[in-house]
This record gives sequence, structure tokens and C-alpha cells, in this order.
Amino acid sequence: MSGADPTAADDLDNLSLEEMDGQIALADGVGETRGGDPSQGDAADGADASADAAISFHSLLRPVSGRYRNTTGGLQLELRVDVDRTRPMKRVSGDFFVTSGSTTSYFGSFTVNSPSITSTATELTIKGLGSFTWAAGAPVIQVTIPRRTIFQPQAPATLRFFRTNGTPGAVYVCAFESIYFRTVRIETDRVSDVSTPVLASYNTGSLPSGGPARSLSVVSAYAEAGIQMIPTAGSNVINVAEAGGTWSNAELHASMQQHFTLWRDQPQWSIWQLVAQNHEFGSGLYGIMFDQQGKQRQGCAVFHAGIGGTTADKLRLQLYTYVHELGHGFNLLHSWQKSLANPPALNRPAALSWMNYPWYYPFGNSSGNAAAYWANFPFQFDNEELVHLRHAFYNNIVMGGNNFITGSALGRDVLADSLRDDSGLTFTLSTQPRSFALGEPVVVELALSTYDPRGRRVHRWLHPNCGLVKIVIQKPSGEVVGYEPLIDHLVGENETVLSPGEQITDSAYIGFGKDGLTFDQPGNYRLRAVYAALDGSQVLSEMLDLRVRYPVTAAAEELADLFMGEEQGTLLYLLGSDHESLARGNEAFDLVLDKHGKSDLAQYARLVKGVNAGRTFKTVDRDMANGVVVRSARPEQSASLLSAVASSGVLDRVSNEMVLTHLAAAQSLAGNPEAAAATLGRLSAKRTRSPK
Amino acid sequence: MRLNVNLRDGFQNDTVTATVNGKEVFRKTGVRTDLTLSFAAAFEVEVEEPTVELGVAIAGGPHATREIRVQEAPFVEVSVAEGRLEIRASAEEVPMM
Repeated sequence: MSGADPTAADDLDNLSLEEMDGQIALADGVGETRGGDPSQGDAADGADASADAAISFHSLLRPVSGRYRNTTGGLQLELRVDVDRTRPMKRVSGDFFVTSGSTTSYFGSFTVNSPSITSTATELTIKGLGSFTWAAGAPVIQVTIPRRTIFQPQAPATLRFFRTNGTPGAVYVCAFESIYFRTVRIETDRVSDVSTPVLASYNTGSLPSGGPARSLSVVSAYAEAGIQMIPTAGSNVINVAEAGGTWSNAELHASMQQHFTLWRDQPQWSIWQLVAQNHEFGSGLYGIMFDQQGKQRQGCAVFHAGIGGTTADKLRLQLYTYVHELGHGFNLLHSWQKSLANPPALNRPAALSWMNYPWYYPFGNSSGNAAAYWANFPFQFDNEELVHLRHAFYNNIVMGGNNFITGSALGRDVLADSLRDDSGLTFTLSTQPRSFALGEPVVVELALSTYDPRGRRVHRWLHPNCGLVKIVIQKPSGEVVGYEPLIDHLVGENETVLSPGEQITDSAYIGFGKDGLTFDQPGNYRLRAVYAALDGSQVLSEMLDLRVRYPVTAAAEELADLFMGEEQGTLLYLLGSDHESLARGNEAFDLVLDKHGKSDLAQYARLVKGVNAGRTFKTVDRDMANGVVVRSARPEQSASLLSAVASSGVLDRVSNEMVLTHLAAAQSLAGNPEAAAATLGRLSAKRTRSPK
Repeated sequence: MRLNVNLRDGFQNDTVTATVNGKEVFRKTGVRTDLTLSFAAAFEVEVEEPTVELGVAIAGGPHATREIRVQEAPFVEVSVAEGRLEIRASAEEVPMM
């Protein structure tokens, strides 16, 4: 069952009859729609019939947002609808789980980020294209919920999947479960030497703030975000002798494993918060999410040496710290560090959020930056964080799921548009073709220009290897990943003043990185790049849509197989290598040249082999007297291969210029200065003709 | 007088050295920012002069120097941002959470 696609009616064939019963039915009318709470299902007709009467009592209609569940059968669905109640993010999302016997495992998640929402007197309909953690066969999602008055029970939600051509997929009827999108159990333990009370609540009207005055506790602060925190009965008092007075992170982790009643080394909606007095870093450390071992993000601690007390400012600081550290447990980064998430998001240093540092707030008043922050802070998460808390894919948020920072910025469509961009810079991301054969190396061209008539000082490091440009990729499955170069380059200063009409360009092969092959499945991809400018601006490119084609011939399939290996990816990234660990990759490229030498993809094999042949290649060998085996450059071979590449027209402009540079060097080394000069002449002509 | 230096954002498995008035006072390899705290490493130096020149360098990367008035602003934060080292001094310790 775990391999079936829960969105597609076709895959229902894989379900047993028992699994079918009471769980899923086809949307085309062949089957009967079932599931959800039978008693509520029976009441639905009556609710619809009385809807006309409810129109005149519109304010008495129940909001529909919250968590729904289809619990029958082997496939469980948790559905989250977020269209009304507090700060609606206008989304739906869900997680599928597979139950087999007495075990339940996570299957996958989906979210609809920009649905159309229509409401009639009788029904609310939410529809849009979903993003999925798997390759969904029926990716269009429609949720319908009958409207009910406050005198009636919440209606179930019906989730229908459709293929992109409109063919119905699977249908799930989900009973209403909670007004909260997630429910988390929290255990708060205290260390014996804590000399001030554990925070109960803080009245936000006690001191100037940016929101309405209300009494907030940890539980109610999260409730406002749509997260239900249920305190457990644990509440141990831990002897400070366990830590010998001050706590190290290792001691905190060991104490969590010993005292956290619910602790298990697996993903689960449970978190432990320890109220302690002193960390070994001193009283300047207010709190820490220390759990970065094994299944991470299950524990955090706050330290009353810095935040303890009963004055209003201390209570405010306690509330802030308690909520902030738990936020890390939900995989939220600091507001000014969102770009360090994987995949990255925009930094928001001015965010009035639980996840900022008040003292880092960039706007000050006469009393300082922190005072200005507190005066404006409404005691809430910002919208992007709410999207994450409510709709992030399961493993990106559940405690014990993905490691800290992985997936911490999800919930957005690749990278959100800047609300304002005064950088004066334009950053473009492009590829020569928009459609690639499966296995074909994807090389992107990056270009930076300015529209500021005064010019702008910029750095020239456009290649993702240098760490100042990040590329985010949404895969056909909906999964969003940040491209991680195989090798990070530490770069120094390389600045220039860019004038209008000038352009800095580079190209980068992004088909292979630390996470392996990037474009490993056919389908549509969305890419966006972000350039970190010298003034801190993050300049976004436009979205770039690419398609990776299904191989439709035997030759295309064989070529895909020959290119889609880790070793081939490494060779393309390195532009060739003699190393024996990459021998199979080189053999694959030899086969490409032998069997498919006239194909466009063969030019990439020639590129790799041609550049490498032009090098003197040194291999460490301890058996040799000097410890190194030197293979001399083969300039004739290099020139032959690269000449073919340069005249093929397959490569992008920047890559082709790189090829001409290597070709000229090889020709020169081969003792053919006339040819080298001619090649450099071609290079110069290309640059002259290139748009600035 | 004690100069308190915290290495904060942006360190990625770096080798960091620091000098006070040209004399090396700190060297550490594998300096990496813990993103839960925005903290990588810290060191303290006893100084006698009211004003010193603090230099910080990443091996193979950027370096920066700044004059620090230790009596007035003994708490120093060093971060890497956009490939540059930034040194900030303040009168009070900047908290972490």
C-alpha cells in the first residue's frame, strides 16, 4: 500500500476490499462516497435543506477552519482547512498515514497555497493545484464543506482529487476533529534551584505593546497561532545536582531522555521544556533548543538567571523566551536567518515575531531598538511562520522529524515575492532550452544588472558554489529543495560598480549537488534564484519553469540511464576527473560517445572529457616514491573534443565561452598558436555580440 | 579590564584567529554557528589599555579590525555577513535565545 498514490482513483485497485470499505470511493459516481462521522453524514442533508433559513443569520454560521480526519481503513488522512477564524492563511493542507496491522507510518503531505475559495449559503468550496511530497497522479484538490449554523455540529469536509485534465481521482470524507491545526503535548519540568516562579501568564497590556491587551500563557500564545498545546501531567522537579549547578547542552539532552515522560526517539507531537536557572554559557543565554542529536527538536530549555522575576518586563521576557524556544522545536529559524533554511526563504529582520530578537530590531526609537520592538510587538508569529506552523509538510515540523533548519521555510511557493525591492538590481535566471531530456545536464545562466542610473556597487560571485546565490527548486512532486553545491567555495572580495547597461553573468551546472541528482524525474520544475547583495538586499529572480521530458524512445531512455548516475553527476560538476572512484561514470560517457555520438547529450560527454584531457591530472598514490601519479595533459585530444562542442550550439552562451577558453588553451599547448588565436577571436567576437 | 568576544552568525566550519593590538589571543578550528542561538564561539581577554585594536580573521577568507573602547563597550559580537566580517561593540552583553 505504501507505494500507491492516495490521490488517484486508479491506485485504489491496490487496496483490499477491507481497506475500501468505509474509507474511499470514486468520484465518478461508480462508488458511493463514504467515511467521516456517520452521524454527521446523516445530518448533512438536513443541514443543506435548512441552509436557506441560515442565510439571514449569516453571522451565526460556523467557521469551518480546523482539522479534519478520515480515520477508517488502512489509509488515514489528516486535513487542515484554513480559510476563516483567526488570521486565516487561505490554504488547505494534509498528511497521509498508512496503517498496517498495529503500525502506522507516514506516507506524505500536500498543501494548496493559492486556492480559489467560493462560499455560498450552503457550501464552502476550496480548490487549487496542490504541492505534494510524492508524485501525485491527481494533483488538483477540491475541498467542500457544508455550511452549518452554530446550533449544529461541524460538518465533515469532502476532499476530492482530480487529474489535471479534470478526471476525478480519490475522494475522502473527513470528520471535523478540532478547531486547531495541530495538537502537541508539552511537558514542562523545573530544576530544583530555580529561584523565581515558572511563568504562568503575562498580561500584554502591562507594558506598551503593538497588540490588544490580553493575558497570554505559552498555551494561549500557541492557541492564537492555531496550535493546541496540551500540558502533560509530567511536571517533574529535577535535582540540580544532575548538572552540577550549570547546564551544558549534553546534560540537557541526557536529562530530557531521563525525565521527559513522553520522550521517544521518533517523530511525534510532543515537546519538553525545562525551566532551569543557569546554563554554562552564563546569564546572557535566555533559552536554547538544545536537541540537535538523533531525532531532533524534541526539547528546549529556558534559564531564569537571565529572565526570572515577577516584574512586568521580566514576565514579558519569560513569555517571549518560552514561546521562542518552543518555536525552534517547530523548526522555526530566527527572523533574520530565514535564508539559512533548506530551502531558503527571505530574511525578515524587521519581523514583529516571537522568533526575532528584540535587540536586533532594525528600527529604533529614543529608548533604543529593543524598546521600539516591544512597543510594536503584537505577541504573535508572522504570517510566514503561521503558514509553516499550520501547513508545513509533516516531517518539516513534527518534533523528531527533519533536522533543524531542513524544511523550516516550507509552506511557501518556492520563494515569496518581495513586498518591496529597492535594491536597484535585477537578477535573472535562465536556461538555453526550457525543456530537457531526462538525464540532460541542466545549466542555468545567471545575470546581474542594475537599473539605478547612478550605478550600484555589487559583488561578482554569481555561481552558487560561492554561497552568495542560492537556487530553490520545486520538483514535480511539489517538494521544494535548495540546491546545495557539491563543493562550497570560500570567496574573498570581488566587488565592482555596476552601471546601467552592464551585466555580470555566470553559468552553473545544477544537475548534481550534495543531495545527489537534482532533476531526477520527468515533469515540471520551478526554479528561483536569490542574490545576496552587499547591502543585505536579497534580490530575487523571476520564476523559471523547466520541463524534463519523459524518454519516449529506446535511445533516449538509454541516454538517460547513461547520464543519471552519481558518478556522472560528479564528473559533470567537476568537468571531468581521472579518479578511479569515478571510473564507471567515465565508462558511461565513453558509451555515450560510442553509441550516441550524434546526440546533443554527447556534447556534454565531450565537454567533460575534453576539459579533463586538457589538464595535467595528479592522483595521490602512496605507493609512488613522491606520493603522486601525474598524467600529462593531452591537448590534441582535448582540442578535438572541445572543437566539436564549441561548434555544436548545444551549450548556453556562458558555457560555450568557457569551452572556447579551454579550447584555445589546448590548441596553444598542442603547438597550434594560429588555431588558438582564431579561437580567441571567436571568443572575443561572441563577447562583443553578446547583449550587455 | 576584560574584553568579551562572541562569534555569532555566519561561521561555517571555519578556522578563526583573533588578535588584540597585533598579538594573537584566540585561534580555533571548526568554528560553526549554531543556528538555534546564532552563536559559534566565545573568548575573553584581559587587557590593560582602555582602547585596543581587535582583529578577527577567517583562514582563507575575510578579516576585519576595529578599535574597541573596552571601558565603554567591552562586549563584542563578530558575524559574517555577505562574505564580510562585522565587528560590533556594546556596553551590555547581547543576550541569546
